[in-house]
Amino acid sequence: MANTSQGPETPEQEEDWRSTILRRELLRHARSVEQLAARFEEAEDYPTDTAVTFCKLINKTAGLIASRLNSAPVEKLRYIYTVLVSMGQYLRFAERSRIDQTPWSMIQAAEAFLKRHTPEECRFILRPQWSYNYSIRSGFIESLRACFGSLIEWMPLSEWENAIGDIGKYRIYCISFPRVERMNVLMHVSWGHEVGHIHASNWLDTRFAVLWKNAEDKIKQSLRAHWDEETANSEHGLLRSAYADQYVSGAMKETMEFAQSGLKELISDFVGAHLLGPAALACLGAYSVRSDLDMNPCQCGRYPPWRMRLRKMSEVVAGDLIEEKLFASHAQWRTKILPYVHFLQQVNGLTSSSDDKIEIDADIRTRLAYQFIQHHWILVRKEVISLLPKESQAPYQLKNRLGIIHELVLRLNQGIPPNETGTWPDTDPASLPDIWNAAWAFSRLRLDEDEKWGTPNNFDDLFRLTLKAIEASYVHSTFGPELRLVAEHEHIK
Amino acid sequence: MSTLSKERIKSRLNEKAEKQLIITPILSSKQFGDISIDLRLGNQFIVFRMHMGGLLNLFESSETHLHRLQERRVVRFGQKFVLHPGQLVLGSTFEYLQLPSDLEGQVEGRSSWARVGLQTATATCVEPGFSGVVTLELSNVGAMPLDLFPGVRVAQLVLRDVEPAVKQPYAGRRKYNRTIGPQFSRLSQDEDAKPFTKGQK
Repeated sequence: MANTSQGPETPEQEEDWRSTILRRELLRHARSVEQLAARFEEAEDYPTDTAVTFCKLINKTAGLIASRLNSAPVEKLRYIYTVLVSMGQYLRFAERSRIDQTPWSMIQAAEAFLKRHTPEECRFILRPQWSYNYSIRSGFIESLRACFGSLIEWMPLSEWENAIGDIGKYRIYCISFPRVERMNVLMHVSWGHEVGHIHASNWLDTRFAVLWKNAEDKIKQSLRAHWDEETANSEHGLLRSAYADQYVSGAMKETMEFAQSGLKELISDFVGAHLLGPAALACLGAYSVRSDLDMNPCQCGRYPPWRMRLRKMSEVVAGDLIEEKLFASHAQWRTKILPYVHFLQQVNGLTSSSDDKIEIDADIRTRLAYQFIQHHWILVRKEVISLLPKESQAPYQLKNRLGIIHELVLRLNQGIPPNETGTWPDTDPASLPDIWNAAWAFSRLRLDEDEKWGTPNNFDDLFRLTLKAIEASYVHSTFGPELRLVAEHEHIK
Repeated sequence: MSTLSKERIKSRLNEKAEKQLIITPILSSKQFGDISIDLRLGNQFIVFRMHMGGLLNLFESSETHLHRLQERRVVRFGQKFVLHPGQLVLGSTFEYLQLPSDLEGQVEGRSSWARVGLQTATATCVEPGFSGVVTLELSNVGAMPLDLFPGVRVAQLVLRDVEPAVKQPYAGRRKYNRTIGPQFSRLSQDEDAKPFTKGQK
């Protein structure tokens, strides 16, 4: 190793000199990441254990890197640097998920809900972000595994796997929500959409290629026909065929990307509505007012137009939009829930316009991509449902929950958290989807009843009661059965 | 004015509309005593950040100043909050209460806790029409630190009839209504204190 007190004189010495310094810097860097992760791990003010698990992953990985840096090959040092940089950045997900940053009273319940509707290895961190949207990040453990997989000449992958132990079995997801909407429990219904992304990715990874392959030739022909039509009067001479191939190949790739992105969002919406019913449509309808409804995916990051998203979601909850059917045998619940149904109908009403389709058709790539989606949509929905855990495969339907929602709305109307139904001793904790639907139904009822209702203070009251309800119902369903057993046991004694 | 027995408490829990007593959720029948119902500890606490200010003048301090003196801590159910000797923190009941206009409540400590030095509530009256969780002034007057676990039964509510029923109950007109966590003192909102606190005439 070169003596760093003396500057490099030849290119070889320069490389040696820089590597020596880099190795020392990396050791310091790795120890810093390790210590930071340990500090976060010990913080003890996370609403669930996932952030602690996540910090442990970073702590153990950084510690392992630090302890083995001396033997790392010179040519891998810069790569190790990029791994450490990523790990340091990952820590922000844990740091921001601490209790005072989140709507803490609903995080445990929300994580339990998310876990129930995803494969058992899934774990969730919920944290705020400054950008005004919801998003999901994943692949933390998977990308570290890939990194160590490419460093096997330095250390075997099993060494890293041993260091992180059982954490390696998990898939950790970080769901972010807009910081300024921390308390907005109505908007957090969007978490249903985010969990949908997990199933959408799963479907895209396993099924998309098969369907695309079957449709590929037809799409190619359409693109070629389009090119021929568009260039009928152009002079391409002998190179015409080469130009056409070049166009078709580029457009084909883009069309596929539009189809994938469209499906990713539409499947996520579908799962959200499947799990949470009309609350998902109400939430999407309210959120979408911030944007143009009919933007072509080319102009908005490949997202499907909002109007199409609302249309597809309306299809999922269609049974709950027809008031005659909904209240046919439950007229007693009509008054309190009807304003909610009317709001859902208004959202659905937006989808009668076909302006989004006109926008989509204006570009051959999006036209073909969305024809592909439309053609396979029923099959896709069926396949996605089969990917859900067994107990999640039945859809949430308002028509089956009317009595419960009605009771919860009455509680809100009375200024009581909608955490349970019945009266003591025959009470049942309300489920998260029921509480969410009741909160939406109550907000629409109040807006309908009183034109002055709808101030920030009114919504603040609603958010607080709903958050309290989510926490109380979670504690009730988690600890209640055991407490009841204890009470019964003592009674017998 | 009579104290409600267990049977009457249960019957008021099952009343309809404005006669109904709300205590939600009641997780176990063990919470009922002969003339009271036990309340569980919530998981939010307000602790004082003594390093952030000196003399506390509650009548003249701005809301911002008072906020600076408090720190809200949340403890997950299953974890503990340690209350040290001499320490005062504000906690709250886990249960959300709503009292009808003809009932008032007194929140009292449980003797099992009092015996180890925990004082649970000093401002004990819950007025007719009150809606929310009840703030508990928790102080440890014993010699040993106490582990407080959210969810454990920490106080008891004794209910009494109010005759005649209050015409304009607490709801909608008082400063600590519809709360879901402990509330800090709002003495600065006491308008009638001002003549006494603004200095010598």
